[in-house]
Amino acid sequence: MTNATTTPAPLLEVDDLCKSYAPKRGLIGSILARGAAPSNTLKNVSFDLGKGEILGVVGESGSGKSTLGFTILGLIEASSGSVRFDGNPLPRSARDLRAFRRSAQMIFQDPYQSLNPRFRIKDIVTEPLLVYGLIGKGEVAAAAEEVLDLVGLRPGKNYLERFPHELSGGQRQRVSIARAVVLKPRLLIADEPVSMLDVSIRAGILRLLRSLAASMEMSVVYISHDLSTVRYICDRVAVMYRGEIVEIGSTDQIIASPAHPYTKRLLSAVPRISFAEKRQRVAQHA
Amino acid sequence: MSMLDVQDLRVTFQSDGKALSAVDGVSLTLDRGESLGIVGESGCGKTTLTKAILRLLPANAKTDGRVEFQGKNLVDLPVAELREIRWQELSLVTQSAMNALDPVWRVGDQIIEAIRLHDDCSRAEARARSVTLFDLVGLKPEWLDRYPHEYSGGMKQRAIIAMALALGPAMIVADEPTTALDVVMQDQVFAEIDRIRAAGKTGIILITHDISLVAENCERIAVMYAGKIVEYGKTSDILDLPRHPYTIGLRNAFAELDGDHELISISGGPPDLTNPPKGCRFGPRCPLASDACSQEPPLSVLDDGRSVACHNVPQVEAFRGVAKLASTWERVGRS
Amino acid sequence: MTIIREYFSDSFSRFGLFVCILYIAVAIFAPIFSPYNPWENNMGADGTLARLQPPSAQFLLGTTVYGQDVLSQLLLGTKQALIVGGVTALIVGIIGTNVGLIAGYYGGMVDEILMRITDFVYAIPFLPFMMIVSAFIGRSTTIVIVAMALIFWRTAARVVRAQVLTLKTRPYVTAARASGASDVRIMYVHLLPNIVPLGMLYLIFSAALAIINEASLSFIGLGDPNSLSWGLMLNQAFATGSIRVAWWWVVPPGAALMLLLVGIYFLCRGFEERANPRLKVKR
Repeated sequence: MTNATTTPAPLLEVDDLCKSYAPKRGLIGSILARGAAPSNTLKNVSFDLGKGEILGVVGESGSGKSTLGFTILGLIEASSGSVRFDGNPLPRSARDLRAFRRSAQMIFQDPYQSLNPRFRIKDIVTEPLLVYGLIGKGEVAAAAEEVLDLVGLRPGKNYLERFPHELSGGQRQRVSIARAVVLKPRLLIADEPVSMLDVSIRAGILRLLRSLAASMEMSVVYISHDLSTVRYICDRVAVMYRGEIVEIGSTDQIIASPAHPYTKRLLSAVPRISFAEKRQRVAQHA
Repeated sequence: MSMLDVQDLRVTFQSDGKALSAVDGVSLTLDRGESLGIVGESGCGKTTLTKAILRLLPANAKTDGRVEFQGKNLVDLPVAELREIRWQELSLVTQSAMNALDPVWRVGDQIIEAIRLHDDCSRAEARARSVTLFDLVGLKPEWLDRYPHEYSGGMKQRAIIAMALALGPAMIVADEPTTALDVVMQDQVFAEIDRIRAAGKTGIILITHDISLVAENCERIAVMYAGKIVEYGKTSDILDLPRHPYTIGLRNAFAELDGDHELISISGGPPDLTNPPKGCRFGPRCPLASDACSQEPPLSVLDDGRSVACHNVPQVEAFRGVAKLASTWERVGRS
Repeated sequence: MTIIREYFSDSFSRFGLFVCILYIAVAIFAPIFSPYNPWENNMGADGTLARLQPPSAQFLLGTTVYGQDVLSQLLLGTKQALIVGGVTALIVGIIGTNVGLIAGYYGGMVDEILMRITDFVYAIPFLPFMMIVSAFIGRSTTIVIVAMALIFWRTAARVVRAQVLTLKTRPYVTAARASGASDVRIMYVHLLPNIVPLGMLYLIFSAALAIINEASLSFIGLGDPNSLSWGLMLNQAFATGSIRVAWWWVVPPGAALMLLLVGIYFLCRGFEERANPRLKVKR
C-alpha cells in the first residue's frame, strides 16, 4: 500500500458469489434423468461495502437481489464464491454464525408479517438482547423504551405492552428497525423496507435509516425495485439483472449517465412527475 | 351530458355494530376519451369508490347518491340491466386481475369464450377480434394459443386489459393495475393504455397511490383523503402548484428520480372512519389548520377551474415556502 | 369472561361449552349425587333381585338385568368418558404437536423419517390393532388410552406440520434466526404460540374421537371390564339380550354419549374461527 492516504478497509467484500438451486426432480424424473437446468439465482456477484456506506441494490423481481441479501447474512448458503466481513470469511459453524449475527441484521418488506403476532412490542425489540444474554429479564422494559425512542416511537413507554396488530404499517416497520439495531450491528440489510408503506409515511422511515446509518456508523445494503427511493438515500448503487450486477457506481453517476443498456432501460421506464420533457417510453412488443 | 356523472356518492359499511363512512360525498365526471386519475393512500376510499360505481360492494355496504352512466343511474339499476352494462360498456381491471386467468385454459380460448358469451358471433369472428385486441396491447397473435403460466406478469396484465376491451367498452376503470409489476412492465402496460386513450373512444379512470403515473397518463386528477375528494382538476395545474395542504404534503413525501427536495412525511396517520374527526378530516395532521377547520370545508371551484376543499386556500401561497421545511410538518403532531 | 365472549360468540359454541361444563360437573360430583352404588345389586321390595325394572320412583332410570341402578351407572360412566377423552387428547396433543413442529421446521431427512413413521401409523387399522393389543397385553383403561393415543397422534402431526410449513416462511421467523435465536427457541417460543389455536382444535377433536372409540371398544368387549363406561353398559344390555326389552338401559347411555359428542363438536366451532380466520362469519 503506497497511497499517501490509505483508504479504510471495506466492511464487506463479496467476491464471485454464486447461488444456484438444483431443480426438484420427482422419482420418475430422477430415473429418466430428465429435469430443468439449475437456476442461476446469483452469478458471480462482486462488490465492496465501506463502513457507514449505504449501497442500493436495484433490480426487478427475479433479479436475485433478495437472495443476495439473505446469502450475505448466511441465511442461505452460497453455492460458491466468498463473503468477507471485516476481513474474515463468513463463518460456517452454527456457533460462529451466531456470533456473526450480532453484527449483521436484516429488516423485511412486509410490516404485517415481520413481527410475531403473539409477542408484545417490548419482547419483540429486546429478544436479540435476551438471546445473546446481554440483559436480564428485569431490564427488558428499560431497554425496550430506549430503542423505541431511538426509532421515533415516542414515548417508548406507550408502546411496550402493545401487540403488532395495534400498530400501523409505518409503526410496525419502526419496530422492525428497532429490533434490528438494538444489538448495534455494523451491517444492516434492508429488503424493500418501504414498498408496502403509504407514500406519505415512507419519507420518515427512509430518513430514520439514513440518520441511524450515520449516527451508528452502520453500513446498509438497501434492496429495492424503486429507483426513486434508492436515489434518495443511497451513496452508491448496484444494478442487478438476472442474478448479475450489470453496473455499479455512485448514485448520481448511475442516474445521470448510465452505462449499461439494462440500466438505461430501467431508468427510462420510471414515470416522472416533472413536465419538463415528455419521457421517451420503452416500446416493447412481445 | 358527461358519460359518467357521479353525484354525491356515499358508501357506509356496517361492521361489528359500527358504521364506517368509507366514501363521503364524492362527485366527479368523465367523458369518452378522457382520463382521470384518482390518487390517495390507504383508507382514502378510492377502491371502495371504484367498487361502488360498478356495484361490486359486499352486502354490508350501503350506497347513497347517484352514479349516472350514459344516462342511467347505476346505483338502483335492476341487476339484469347492470349485467348488460358490465363489461360491454364498463369494465374493470384490478391489481390482481392477472390471477383471474384460468390456468387450465389457453388465454385465447378464455377471451374468445368471453366475447361469445356477450356477443353473438362465430368462433372465427371472435378469434379475429382477439387478434386485433392483442395487437392493441402489443402481444403477438401466437400468444393466444399459450397458457397463462407461460406469460410474464406484465403480459398477463396486458392480456387482461385486452379482455377488458374485448367488447369495446365506453369506460375502463383500472384499480392499481401495475402495482404488482416491474417498472419496465408497468411502462409497457401504460404505453398501451395511452394508445387506447389516444384513440379517443374510451374513457379511463386510473386509481393509484403513485402520483407520477397519474402525472404521465391522466389529464385530470382527483386527490382523495379519508373518503372525500380534497382537490380535483387538471393534473398539470394541481401537481405543478397544489393548493390543498394534503396535496402539498403528498408532493413533499414523494421521492422522484429527478427531484432534489428533502422528503418529508406527513405526521400521524389516516383517521378512524368509524369515528371521523369533526370538521375537516385532514385537520389533525394539517400545518395550516385554523379555527375555521372545525367546520367541514366544501369543495369549491377556484379561478383556474379546479376544486379544492379547504378553508385556508388564500393562505396556501404564503405557506408554500414554509411547506418545504420538515419542521413545519413535524410540528403538527406535537401541538 | 371476555375469553368466553371472544371464543364462543355464537350460540352453538356456547351450548357446546355449557354441555361440556355440565358433564365435567357431573363427573366430579357423581359419587355424591348417585342414589345408589352403581355396582350394587339392589334388592326389590319383595326381597328378590330388582332386575330389569322400568323407571320408577325408586330407580329413576330403572335397573339392569343384575339389579343395578341405571342412573348411578350413567353418572359414573361420565367420569370414565371424560378421563379417557381428556388423557388421550393430552397425549395426542403432546406427541402430535412435537412431531409436527420438528418435522415441519427442520425439513429434509428429519421430516422424511418422521412423516414416513406417521404414514406407517396411518396404515394401522384401528380395530384389529386394538384386538391384538387386548388379546396379548390385556384389557384396562390405561391400555386403551395408550393404544388410542399411539394411533391418533398421526392426524395432529400432519396438521401441525402443515401449519408450521406455512409459518416458518414468515419474515418474523427469519428475523428470529437473524437475531441469533436457536432452533429450539424458534420452535417453542415463536412458532408454538401461533400453532396453539389449531392445535387446540385437534386436541378437542381427539378427545371426542377417543370417547367414541372407547365406547365402541367397550361395547364389543375389548374395553376395561372393571371400569364402568357407557359402552360397557350397552355391551351388557346387548350380551344379556335385554336390548329389546329394557329401553331404559339402552337409551340413556347412548343419548349421554351423543350429547357429549355434540357438545364437544359445537365447542370446536368456537376454536375453529380462531384457528382459521377465513371461516369468520361476518356478524
